[in-house]
Amino acid sequence: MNSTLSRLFNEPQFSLDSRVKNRILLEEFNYLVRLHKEKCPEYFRVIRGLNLHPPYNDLEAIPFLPISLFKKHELKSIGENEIFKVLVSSGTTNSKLSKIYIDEETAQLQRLALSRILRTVLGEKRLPLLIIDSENTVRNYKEFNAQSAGIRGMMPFSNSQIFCLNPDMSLNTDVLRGFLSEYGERKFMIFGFTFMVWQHFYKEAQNLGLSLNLEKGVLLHSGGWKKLVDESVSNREFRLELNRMFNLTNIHNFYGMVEQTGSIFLEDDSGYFCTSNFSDVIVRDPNTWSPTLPGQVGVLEVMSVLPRSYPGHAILTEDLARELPEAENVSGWKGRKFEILGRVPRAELRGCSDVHAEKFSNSTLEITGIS
Amino acid sequence: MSNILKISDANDALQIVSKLLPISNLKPFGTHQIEFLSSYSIHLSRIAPKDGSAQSLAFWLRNSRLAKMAEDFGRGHDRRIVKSARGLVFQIPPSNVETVFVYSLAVSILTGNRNIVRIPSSVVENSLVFDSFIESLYSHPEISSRNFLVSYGYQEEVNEVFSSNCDLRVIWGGDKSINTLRKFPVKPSARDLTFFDRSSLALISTSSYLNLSDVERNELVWKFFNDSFWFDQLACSSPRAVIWFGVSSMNEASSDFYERLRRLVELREYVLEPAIQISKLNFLYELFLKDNEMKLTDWNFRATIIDSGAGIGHENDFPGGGVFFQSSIATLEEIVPMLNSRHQTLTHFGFRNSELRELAIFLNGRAVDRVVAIGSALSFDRYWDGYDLLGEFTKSVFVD
Repeated sequence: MNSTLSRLFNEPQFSLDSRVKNRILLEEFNYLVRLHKEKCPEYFRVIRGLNLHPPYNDLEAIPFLPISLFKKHELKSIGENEIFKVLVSSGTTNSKLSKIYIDEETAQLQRLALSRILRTVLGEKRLPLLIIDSENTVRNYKEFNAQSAGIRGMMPFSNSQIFCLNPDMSLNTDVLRGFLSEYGERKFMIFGFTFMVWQHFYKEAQNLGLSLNLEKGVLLHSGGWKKLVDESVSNREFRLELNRMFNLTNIHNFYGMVEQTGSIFLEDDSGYFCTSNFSDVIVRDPNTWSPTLPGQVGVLEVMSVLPRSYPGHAILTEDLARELPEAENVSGWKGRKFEILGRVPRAELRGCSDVHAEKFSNSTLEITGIS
Repeated sequence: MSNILKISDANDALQIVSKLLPISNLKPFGTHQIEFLSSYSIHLSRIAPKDGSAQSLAFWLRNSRLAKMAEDFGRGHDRRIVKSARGLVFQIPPSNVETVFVYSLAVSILTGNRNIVRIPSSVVENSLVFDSFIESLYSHPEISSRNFLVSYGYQEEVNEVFSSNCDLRVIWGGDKSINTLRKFPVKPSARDLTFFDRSSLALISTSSYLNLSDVERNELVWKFFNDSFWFDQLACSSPRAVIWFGVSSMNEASSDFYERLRRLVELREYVLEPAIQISKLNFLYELFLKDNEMKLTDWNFRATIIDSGAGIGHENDFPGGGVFFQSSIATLEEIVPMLNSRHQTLTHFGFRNSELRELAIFLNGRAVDRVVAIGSALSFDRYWDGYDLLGEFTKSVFVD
């Protein structure tokens, strides 16, 4: 690990002065562009075609790749013999999967970065983990899915794990009570997908009239509402309700993707996603692809210094987002913050040829990024 | 829209056919048709926005224009020929260019045919062009009894009934749509008129361009903008490439031209939905991944210019919305290897008519069916895609 990169690991997360962070990231990203240009032939061609050559003087000038490129091409900057593992996004049935090639170095950086980020809210020690899911979700290894990857990604931060849902997604109240009587008095962690926490935990507890005290819990949740769009509630309401119902105040949504595993964006108390030392975001105006003014809605680009084995350091997602303007960024952690406003809506193309009308399909972006 | 007949199976389709079969054709350019189309034209010109494709459709169908068309048509053939309608025409217009179905249907109605038109679902949704057409149609019983607008899903049996009963089948919507319909045979006496996937380009003489005044340059760019952006650059006749004639002054001419174009794109507040902008990006990245020598001139999405060397092929997945390939040539012959049979319209600026005729003779049908001035790319005419449409929609009866 070079000295600039190790600084990003050694400094406390969400604490760097923005000018300092910017300088370090710029140096790293210039290095990464050169690295991937040399090692990944597809990336080389893209940079040549875009006619945007290093060095770059600011982060917004770093070329990004649209996320769909990872679904159509096997982009890697390492030889076959250096592949340590391949991460696959779980897409919807009609979309292709992203394949992300990881070598040992990148895997290690991802693990370390995730632990540095989560340490901010979990502390140094491993904690008991209450999983709002059924054990069946992780048992079925054959069927790769984001849910099981997410749960398994959390395991290393825990010393014991309890699944509190039955296979039919009903709440196993005995197990839940058992967990709380054993661990509920000291700090523990809770993990679940956002819609599962809402639908199968919060609502179910409400229906059953359960009174639970989760005051010592730290809830990490992710995944958004895509499976339950009709049920979707605002992040504010989600936080308020869980607080009211369970006395749960430590709630951290996170946003990430398999294409940038490790450098997840973690929500602070303000309710916005925050950029850690390893990452940054740029909200871009789709008409010019220049950065929007903070506060305006645009398409989200995510940047991460971790990818060494594949050119995934700057990726344009298909999510709409809004950056929190500096003036409103008054509480919580340091650094750039943003909120996700859903996916870019599908559009109908015009044209004489009817092929166009069907061609554009909105592939599903997988939100996990822990693995 | 209640005036579109929903077809759910072969029986529904047969019923429509049985209503149309006993009715006679009208005489080409008969008064019923002229009256109907010119009243539609008046109506549309009143309600359509001042500038745009609906207004030019209205203009094309105005009474004086129809009279001129009738006159030209009458003069255009041997005195021993009596022109008559072909009969029952089955039309499949494209889903996303709402004016095309009217142009195509208007020509067929003018020439006296009876029509079954499959209305694509996307046209129905709040289209001025379409709604006013229906309104006019139903106030002209001689026309409405001969023309049925139908809608149906993917029922093969319906395509089969209409195909096997028509005298002429007109298939817009490109290769995919043609290949789908070709599965259903037409009568031995019937034929297909097909409009396959095409793309178009512009040819500009750099020296002529640089001789223009500031005002004239803006005017040319304005015309080029309309050619390109009216249908988000996805109409077959909208230019996707610009060929600069004159290598040494190309940079000077092209950078001035694009600067004005980009300003105009901004001024006209041309914006696209984010999803289309994303598909534009995807197209560019996929293009560069093919390991060609193509590259962006600069990072700009008002109008994105790709230096393409000599390659300006027909790209099937072209996203439109302001992406232009560019290339330069020193002599007109150099354009020939860049063209292929997919190329439809060549819009031009700065050439003598004789030079363009020479080019067309030299190409001899290998590429390009229309050579028109910049600004006329989308101007519909009886001569389209290599066809004389008035000829295609009629039969020639020889009387001697």
